[in-house]
Amino acid sequence: MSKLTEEQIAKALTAPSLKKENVNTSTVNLDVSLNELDSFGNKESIKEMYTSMASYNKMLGEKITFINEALTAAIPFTRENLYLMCGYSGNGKSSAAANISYSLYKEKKKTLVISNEEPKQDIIYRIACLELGFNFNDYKKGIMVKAQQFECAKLFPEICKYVKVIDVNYNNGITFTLEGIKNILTQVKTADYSAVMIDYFQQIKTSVLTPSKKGLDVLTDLRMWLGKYIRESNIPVVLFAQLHSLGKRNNVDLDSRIKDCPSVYETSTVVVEIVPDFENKTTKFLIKKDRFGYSGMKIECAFDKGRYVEITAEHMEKIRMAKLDNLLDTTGVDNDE
Amino acid sequence: MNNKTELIFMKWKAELADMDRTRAAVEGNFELLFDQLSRSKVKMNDALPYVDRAIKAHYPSDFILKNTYKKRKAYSSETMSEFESSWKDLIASTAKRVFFSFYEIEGVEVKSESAYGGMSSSEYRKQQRYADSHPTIDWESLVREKKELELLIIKENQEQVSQVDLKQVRLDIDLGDL
Repeated sequence: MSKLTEEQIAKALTAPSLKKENVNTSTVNLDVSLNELDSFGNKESIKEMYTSMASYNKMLGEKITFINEALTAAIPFTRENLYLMCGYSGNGKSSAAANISYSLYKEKKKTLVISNEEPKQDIIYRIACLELGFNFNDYKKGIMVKAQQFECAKLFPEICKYVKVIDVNYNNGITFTLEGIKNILTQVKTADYSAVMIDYFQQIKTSVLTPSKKGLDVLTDLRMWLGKYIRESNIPVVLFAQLHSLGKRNNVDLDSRIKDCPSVYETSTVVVEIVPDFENKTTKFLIKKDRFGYSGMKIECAFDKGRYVEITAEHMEKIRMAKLDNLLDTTGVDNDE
Repeated sequence: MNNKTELIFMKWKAELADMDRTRAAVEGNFELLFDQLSRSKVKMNDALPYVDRAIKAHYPSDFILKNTYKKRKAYSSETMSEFESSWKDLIASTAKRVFFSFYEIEGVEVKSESAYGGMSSSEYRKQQRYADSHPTIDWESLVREKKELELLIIKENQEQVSQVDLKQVRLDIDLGDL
């Protein structure tokens, strides 16, 4: 298996590569012969199907984790799938992305994170915090002590062996462009990666080759391309998408709440909505579409030190005590009285 | 009077009898009504007369008022009438606030408070109700069943594959990797 260095990725994303793709797309062979159609079922085509089946079985055998044990049991994380993770702004999309990367990092599997929102150091920092049980938001708010920051920084080299990031600043914002995303994904299509994540979908609004293309056309082009890509790729793709707030919509159907390009719902094979319960520090993962029989149901997880874990009696007791402390604080009653 | 609006109100009022009507639940109770009205596309002018009716429906009975006051008297200096009016004021102000969170006044810019993760508290509660309408998969049994199934498949595979000739003579393709 080939391994991709940052230089190789940079080279692949330069202008000549973009032009080359343009030539390729304009010379698509549209000819179909009857002989070709009839040849389906011959030894070569059967062999090709067996090879794909073996490859799929191999991936299932590797059992890569999707966030945690329960979510993996409900939604196997496998190739040939486009996972659409939806959430309202501030509802935990980046936390979910960090949890996916973290699980794969722990299993020593490579992940590619294409981020057009967070810079690379924040993505790696989040994973370091998950490993050490620190609160990433403390770092962002400037209230994380230096000793903890050093501990996180020390983990960066090890995490970066498995979590590769192409961020907002890469090649002058290539992660915002249709062609940039396609080129990155093409590079890893058959490489030794276990997953690719794009955070987030609606930020990909421009086309370098067709600057006149409108945002919706860019997203439509990308979602159709992704539909084809996942069928040919070795790796699953996880797409993060923003939702319109439920409070401002009369139609609660998820596909009507996906911002800018709701039709990405159709292309996705698995769709999950992330709904945090800030009061009980839990998160509900609503399975809106899947191939595995859990559509319409939800898995509820505790949100503990940035990780989505099983809700235990201990967690609920901790929350109850925190609520009680908060109540005593606001009413001015001393806990010791 | 719009028949649909009246029916929605009657249904809510009937259900209110079984609802939690303590202070913490007041907002959620009114949300149920005004959410239903707005989702049923009842216009603001048609829904407005129901605010006062809903407030009155939510008022505590004299019996509840007196008993609650008796319990609180030991650690509160409020008179019975002060207690009653503060309780009723809370209900009225909550109902109006919830109503205007579902119905925006045309031409007036709304700046909603951000309570949870960028959402207003009524948006947040609506989201929670929506999420709670999905049945929960039990974590423990899901994981256990999955493991049991995997073990069963491994066992079946071990028993069956040994009986199968992995070389398909006709196709001459090795199925061993499958």
